[in-house]
Amino acid sequence: MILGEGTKDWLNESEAGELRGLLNGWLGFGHMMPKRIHRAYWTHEFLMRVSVTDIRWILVVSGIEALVNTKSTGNKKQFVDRGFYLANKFNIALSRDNLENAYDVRSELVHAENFLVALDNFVPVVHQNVLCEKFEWLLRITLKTCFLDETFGEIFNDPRQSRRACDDGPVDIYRRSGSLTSSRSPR
Amino acid sequence: MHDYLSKRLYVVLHMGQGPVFNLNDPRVMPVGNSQRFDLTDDIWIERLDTDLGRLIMKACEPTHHRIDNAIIDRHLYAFVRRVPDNESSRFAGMQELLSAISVSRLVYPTSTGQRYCAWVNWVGDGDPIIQAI
Repeated sequence: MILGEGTKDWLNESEAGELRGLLNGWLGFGHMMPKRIHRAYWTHEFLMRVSVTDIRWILVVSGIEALVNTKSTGNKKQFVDRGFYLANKFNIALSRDNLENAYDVRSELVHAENFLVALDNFVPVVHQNVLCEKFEWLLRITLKTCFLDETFGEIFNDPRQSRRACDDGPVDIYRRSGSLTSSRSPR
Repeated sequence: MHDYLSKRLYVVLHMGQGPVFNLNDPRVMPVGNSQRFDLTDDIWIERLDTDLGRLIMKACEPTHHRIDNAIIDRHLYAFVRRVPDNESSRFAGMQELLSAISVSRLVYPTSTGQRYCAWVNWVGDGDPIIQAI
């Protein structure tokens, strides 16, 4: 597993406490994960075991898509619109351009059109790792919030909510779920 | 040694150097030496004593020939689970421990892997039986 350069590689006490909260909350009751959340969670764990950014990039975009894409057409638009909303919600500095470029890079990579290093027309090489890490944090915090906040997690579970998210756009549907970043106690 | 004597445990070692300052400072580490931080009823984080840490490392390393990669204990802390009494299959209980580690990466990503992953059983006196998984 490869972490960012200079990154601490251990849990501190407060993080261990947060983990305890997660394990004793919703996850601890033996619930089945909603399918989309499960796929995103599995993808996150898988990408954590990969060291090559070319593959991590594909996986992190797939993980976010697992959460936000609700129909098979307009995949890029769904990814960009809803990803942008989530990034704003969780204060992760991602622009719409970042999201569009990330999706284009992912498409080049997944079809083996190019190596990541050759795709600096989309994202400059020096920014690629940083951008990939931002997407990883977005996936991580979204998943974590799903496990901590029932209302938020339900968005990715309820087909009606999903359809509404698809039709109305993410802002409306996510806004209905209230304060997504509040530090609610785990269920 | 510890209160885990005469118990059967699943253990996953997290290797690494950790913070360069006081490892026993709870602000930077969940556990100090030989302390444990309970996560659930039967899963916890613990800094194992150095002998046990080294034995688990040794069990999980390839045997090599005339090379000992487990001369010193290098684990920072361990994720530990008590082996459940009624497992549906051998090592089935390890899955829950690995899931806890997986969830920990949603809180903060670490390099905790499955290289030093073992079943530990204390039978009688002396060193425990350790099986790499």
